[in-house]
Amino acid sequence: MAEQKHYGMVIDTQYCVGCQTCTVSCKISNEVPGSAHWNHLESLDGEVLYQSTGTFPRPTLAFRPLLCNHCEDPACVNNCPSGAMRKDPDTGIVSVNQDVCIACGYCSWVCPYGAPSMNDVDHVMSKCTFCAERVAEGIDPYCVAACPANARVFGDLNDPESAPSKLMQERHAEPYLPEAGTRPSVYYV
Amino acid sequence: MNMIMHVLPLLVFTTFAGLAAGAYVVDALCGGLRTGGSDASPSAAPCCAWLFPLVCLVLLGVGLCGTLAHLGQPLRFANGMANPGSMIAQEAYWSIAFGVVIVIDLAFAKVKGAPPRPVRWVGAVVAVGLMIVTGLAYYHSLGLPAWSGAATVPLFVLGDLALGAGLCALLDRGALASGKLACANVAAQIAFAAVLVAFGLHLARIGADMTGLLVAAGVVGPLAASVAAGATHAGKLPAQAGAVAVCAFATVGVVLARYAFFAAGMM
Repeated sequence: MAEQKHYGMVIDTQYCVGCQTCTVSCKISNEVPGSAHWNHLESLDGEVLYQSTGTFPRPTLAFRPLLCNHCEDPACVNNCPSGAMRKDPDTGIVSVNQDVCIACGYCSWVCPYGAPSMNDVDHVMSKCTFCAERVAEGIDPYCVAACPANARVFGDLNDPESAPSKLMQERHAEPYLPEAGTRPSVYYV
Repeated sequence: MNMIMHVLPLLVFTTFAGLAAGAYVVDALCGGLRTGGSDASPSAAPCCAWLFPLVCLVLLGVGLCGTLAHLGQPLRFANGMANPGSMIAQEAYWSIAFGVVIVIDLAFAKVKGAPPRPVRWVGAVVAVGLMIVTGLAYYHSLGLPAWSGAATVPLFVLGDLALGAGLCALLDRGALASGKLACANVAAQIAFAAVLVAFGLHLARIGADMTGLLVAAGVVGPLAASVAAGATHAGKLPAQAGAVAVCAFATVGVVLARYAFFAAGMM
C-alpha cells in the first residue's frame, strides 16, 4: 500500500514579482470558465496591488499569491451542505464534485482564503485542484511550472526530504491566517 | 443592482422565515394570542385560530422558496441536506421541523378551534433553533469578517423577535392595544437597537462602514415601531392603524439592517 501523501506548497514572497503568470497560466491551462479564478494575487503589505507602501528610503512592494490551501481541516469540506467538497485522504487534495454541488456558495464564505470560486457558466462551484492529474503523473501544477521566478515549490509535505519540506525548515515558512484553525498546506516565506 | 439581486434571496428567506419563527416565540411568551388567551378578544379567537399558523406557514414557505433562488442548481436542493455538520443543512432540518409543527398547529386549529398550548411551545422551541442556526450559518463564514463577529447570531435572533412581535401585533390588534404585546414589541425593538449598535461597532473594528443603513434601520425599526406600539397602547392611535404601523416599521427596520449585514459581507 502506497504511503499517504500530503501535498503542499511553499511560496517565497521575496521571489514573487507579481507578474500574474501563475494566475493566467492556471486560468488557461485548467480552462477555468467564466469569471472564476483559482489563483489570485494580493498585496503583502498594502491595500493597492501595484502600489508601493512604506516611506523612503524603505518603500516596499510585495505580493501574496493566493490559491486553495488544501487545508488539513478544511472549512469548505466541513460546511458543504451537499458533501460535494471532499478531501482525498491519499493526497490531501481538496476537490469539489460538480455533479453534486448545489452552488449555494457557502464554501467560499466559510473558507478563510475565499478560495472556492463560482463557475458562472455552468453554475457550480469550482476550485484549485493542485492540478491533481498532473501531480499523479509526477508533474508540478501549472502555476508552479509557469512561475518565472521559481517562487512556488510544490511537493509532499509528509516527506522530510521533499523540496517544500526542506524550504519550510530552512526558511521558517509560515501559513497565512493560521488563526482560522484550518491547518493549511500552503506556506509562505 | 447586482448586489441587490445577489442579496435578495437571502433577505427573502431570513425575513419571511424570521417573521414566522419570531411570531411563534412571541406568541408563546405572551401566553397565547388568538387562541383564547387572556388578551385575545373572546369573540375573535374561535373563528380565527387557524389564521396565525396559516400565515406563518405561508411566510415560511415563501422564505424557503427564496432560498431556491440563491442556489445555482435549485433542482438539486435535496442534496443540501447531505452533510448534517453544515449549518446550511441544519437550517434545512430546522425549517422542515418548524413547518411540520406549524402544519400540526394548523390542523388542530382548524379541527378543534384552537391548538393545545404545548404545540405552540414546541413551535417556539423549534423556531428558536431555526433562528440560532441561521445566525450561526453566517457566523461561521471565516472568509467574511463582517459576518464572523459576535453580533451576528443576536442580530438574527433579536431581529426575528422584532419581526415576530410586529406580526403578532398585526394578527391580534386587540392584544396590542391592551398592553402585553405593546410591551413585547417595545422590548424586542430595544434589544434589536442594542444589537444594531454592537454590529455597527464590529464593522467599525474591521474597517467596514454601514452606518447610514444601520441608523436608518434603528430609526425606522426600534424608534418608529416602539412609538407606534406605545401610541396604540395609549389609545392615541387606532388599534388597526397602530398594528399595521408596528408590523411595517418592524419589518422595514429589520430588512434595512439585514441588507446592511449582507452588503457588508459581500462588498
